[in-house]
Amino acid sequence: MKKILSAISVFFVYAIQTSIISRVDLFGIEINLMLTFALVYATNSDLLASGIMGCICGLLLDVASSTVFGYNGLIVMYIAVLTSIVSSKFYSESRLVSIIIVAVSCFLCETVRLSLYNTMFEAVSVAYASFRYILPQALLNSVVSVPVTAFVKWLKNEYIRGI
Amino acid sequence: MNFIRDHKNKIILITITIAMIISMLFAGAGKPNAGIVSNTVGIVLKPFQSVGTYILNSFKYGKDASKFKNENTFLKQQLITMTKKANDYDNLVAENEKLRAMLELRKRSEDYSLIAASVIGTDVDNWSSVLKINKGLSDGINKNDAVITELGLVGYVSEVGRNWANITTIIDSSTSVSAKVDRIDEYCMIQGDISLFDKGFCSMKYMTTESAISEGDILTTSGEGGIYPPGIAIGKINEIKSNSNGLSWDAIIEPVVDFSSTDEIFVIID
Repeated sequence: MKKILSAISVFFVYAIQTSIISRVDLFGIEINLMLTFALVYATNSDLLASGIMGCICGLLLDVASSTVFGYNGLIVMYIAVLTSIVSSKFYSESRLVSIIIVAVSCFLCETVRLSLYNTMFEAVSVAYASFRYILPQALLNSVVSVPVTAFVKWLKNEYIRGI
Repeated sequence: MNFIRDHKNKIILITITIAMIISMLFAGAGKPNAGIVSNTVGIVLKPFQSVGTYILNSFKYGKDASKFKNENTFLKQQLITMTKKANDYDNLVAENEKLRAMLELRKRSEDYSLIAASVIGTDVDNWSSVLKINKGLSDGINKNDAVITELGLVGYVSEVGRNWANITTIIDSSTSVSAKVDRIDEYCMIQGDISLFDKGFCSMKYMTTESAISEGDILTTSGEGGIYPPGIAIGKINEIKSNSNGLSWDAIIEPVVDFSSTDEIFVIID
């Protein structure tokens, strides 16, 4: 039951992301709710749970973006694992620390995704995209991480002990 | 056994990594349709995305109710005019067919076979433009089918599941379209450009300085490349500027379709 509720929450976030949030932007920047959810989950979970949730969120991003299946799954999984490791060392239930960790992780994840995308298609200037899209998106995601953190904490306290 | 117990987490993560790499290699083998996992996820999520899109559209249409009412009245008047023109057109086509038959000429073009679909979701990247629609293989849609609206070209079907499909639009960084400048019958290549992405524009690069293109020129598909039928409106040239090397021109193309507000599309299946 706990795992089913956890899975439902991921699909719920995905449905909101692709049908509502992707249609709304702030100065051309879209919020990546899936990535934010995965990273916030990672700041509140152990290594394995973070990795698996990151993998699931990444695979859903693959389904949404028509990229090679597994591409985002691999990247987001390892960024989530890294976030979990960093959180275990620095995160002390401080909201500010959590926001900073999410912002840095988002920036790192999107930079890696874009760099690999550019390697495949050679169609994107990484430097331009970093300042025009990735950095503002990381900041926007970190702001969104505040309510997402509350949701994840409620999810974990009420229904989940790990995944 | 102690080794496995002590390193359980790492073993699981490595196993998942290997599975992902195998999945990527297998998926990269050029399969025509979505894999079983993508297909299943798409089928399961389609109702939720449809509900989300419905809620979003309800807010959008509620806010603009009076504007839509005026637009509706105007469109009804246009419809009367267009119906008369369509009837005149039908008569002319019939007369043309009769004359062609008399001269034993072949038909120049056929009407497209179209499938209408609704956009139920979009992708999540700031550098790609992918629309998800509510029709798929079971409706006759296949990978690489061209997608249009009543205004012009949208893109092509990049991934297709049983009852959903992903459309990569022409402003996506990975897309290029072979086009023709109608006025001067000159061929060119249009591609997505991340620096123009937020405006919904695309670019045309490396036009020679001898080219006779000018701002305002209309671009249509050339039919080369095998995906897009010829003669579909793409957009117009918004701005022309010299390339940084000074040896060629780059042009900014304003597509006829506004991808941020596209709700209904047509897939050309034949």
